[in-house]
Amino acid sequence: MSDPRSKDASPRVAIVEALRVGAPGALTEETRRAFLDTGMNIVLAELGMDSLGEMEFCIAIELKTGVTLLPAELAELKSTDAVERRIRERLDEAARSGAGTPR
Amino acid sequence: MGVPTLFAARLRQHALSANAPPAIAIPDREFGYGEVVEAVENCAHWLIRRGCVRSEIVGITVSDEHRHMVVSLALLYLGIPQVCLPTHDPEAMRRSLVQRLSVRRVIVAEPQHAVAGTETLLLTREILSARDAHAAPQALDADPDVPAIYLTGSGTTGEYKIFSMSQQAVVWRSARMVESEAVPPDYRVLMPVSVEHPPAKTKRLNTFYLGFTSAFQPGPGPRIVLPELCASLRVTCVDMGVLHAESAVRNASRENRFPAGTTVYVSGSRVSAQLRRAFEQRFGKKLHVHYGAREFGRISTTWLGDADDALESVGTPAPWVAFGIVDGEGTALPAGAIGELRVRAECMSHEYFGDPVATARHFRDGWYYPGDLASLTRDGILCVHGRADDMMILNSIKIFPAEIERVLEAHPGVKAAAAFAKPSRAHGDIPLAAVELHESAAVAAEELMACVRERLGVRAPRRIIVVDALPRNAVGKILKNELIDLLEREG
Repeated sequence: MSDPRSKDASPRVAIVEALRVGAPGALTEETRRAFLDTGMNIVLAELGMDSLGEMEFCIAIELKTGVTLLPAELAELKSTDAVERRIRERLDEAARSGAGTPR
Repeated sequence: MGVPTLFAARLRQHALSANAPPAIAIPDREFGYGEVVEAVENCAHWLIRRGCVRSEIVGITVSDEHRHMVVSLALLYLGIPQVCLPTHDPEAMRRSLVQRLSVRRVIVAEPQHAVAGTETLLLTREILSARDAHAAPQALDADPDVPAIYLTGSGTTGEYKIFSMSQQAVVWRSARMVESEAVPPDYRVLMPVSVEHPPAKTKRLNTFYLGFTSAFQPGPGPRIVLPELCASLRVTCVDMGVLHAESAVRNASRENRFPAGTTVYVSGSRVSAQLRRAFEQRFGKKLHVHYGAREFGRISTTWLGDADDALESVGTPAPWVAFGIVDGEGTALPAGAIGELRVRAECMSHEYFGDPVATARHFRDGWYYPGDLASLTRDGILCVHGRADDMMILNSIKIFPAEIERVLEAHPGVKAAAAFAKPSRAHGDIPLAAVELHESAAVAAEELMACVRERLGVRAPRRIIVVDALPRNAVGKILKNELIDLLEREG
């Protein structure tokens, strides 16, 4: 597990907020805090998100970060750390290309 | 004597009638049709002397109701086409209209409203009262079927869509107004909306054509209280926008009531169930919702018995309106289904001036498509569900702004709501909403999210922002594009 202090918190905040709508009830308040404070990694399959939940998760990520994620990508990404990496990659790509909205 | 189709003949008829009511009522003063026709003829002489001709459209930038209507009637009198270049528009927008319509002369009441590149005709009060030694202008040979007034279409952003109405079309709408409003003989109409707004102007023209009384608001000064003004001017009909209706509800008191014989029509944008309820609680069953389009005129009106306030219905379509609710292929949909509304009537517009794209979108196969989504109840009552352009498709789920807005406005803390979409490459449209709260309400966006989620499920907005005031145009229409910009700025 990497040092959470080296991470910019905003994608993680976006992820934990998106999980609140994508997998309602799956995260306790304690887990949410741990996710933000300790850099905890969560395996997406353990959250029991259905297809509707995955859609809501992706929409929430898009609204909070501007990064478009497709529900189909989640199967490939598998964990919150991987989702975070994907968001950061796309934010970096957008910054490099000077585009306003990351893809 | 027959009913003339030209304003010149019709106004003279009213002026000569011993039974004609006053043409204009303002606080402490009334003007008869004789006085109005004299001012119109004086103005007509002045327009001729200043070189106005039938082959050129003349611009009017005059916000004063009285002077605006006199000059407008004088142009109709002479058969010279006109367009209003509103004082509330920035000069660039007025210049754009001038260029598109090749306007060379602009009549203004204030020199600062001159438009670069045009000849300015300064309309003073003296011009209207200066008797001319010459005979009245010979204006009875105008063609009633050629464009007489160029008006701007609905639409809150971008370039104006322009359409025209002939004198014949104005006359036709006047006759329909009599039918649809069951106009009494002592009809006196007050429109708190500026004469520079096309629906307000056409209604005033209808009233003059019919020989009834137009009640005008006093000029700048203390804020007017509508019911008080109605009582002092003996107004029988108030035609207003949502903002004025909201304000009347807010200022309602025991002393501040509309007179018993006054009917209130509200139009121009969605009239929420909340506003209808509040209006009825304060003033009784007085409010009727008019639904229509500038390009078409009245489509429907709510009357007692055909208004379902919870559904925000807009009443039964008028008998002269042929209509249909169709899908994207133009196939008629059954009762209850939501589709695009199309309407047809004898004297409707058929095109937008110099805009083949908008014409192709809104005028097809003899129908006018106002761009609204609507459904019809089994009893034949029309319900409007928002603009077709505003319909959201989220991962193939169709979501109508009105359903979100109704649920949010059912919350006791919410005064008004507007639903709109954030475009998404992956999901289509992500529904969002902005709300304006009642003054004393303290409701968090999260509470509203939970409430709306419970009612609408997957059709709920994914984000709600609370704003001090929803951005609206002068007639109370919410400017949704500004909300999208606001959201982008907020991140």
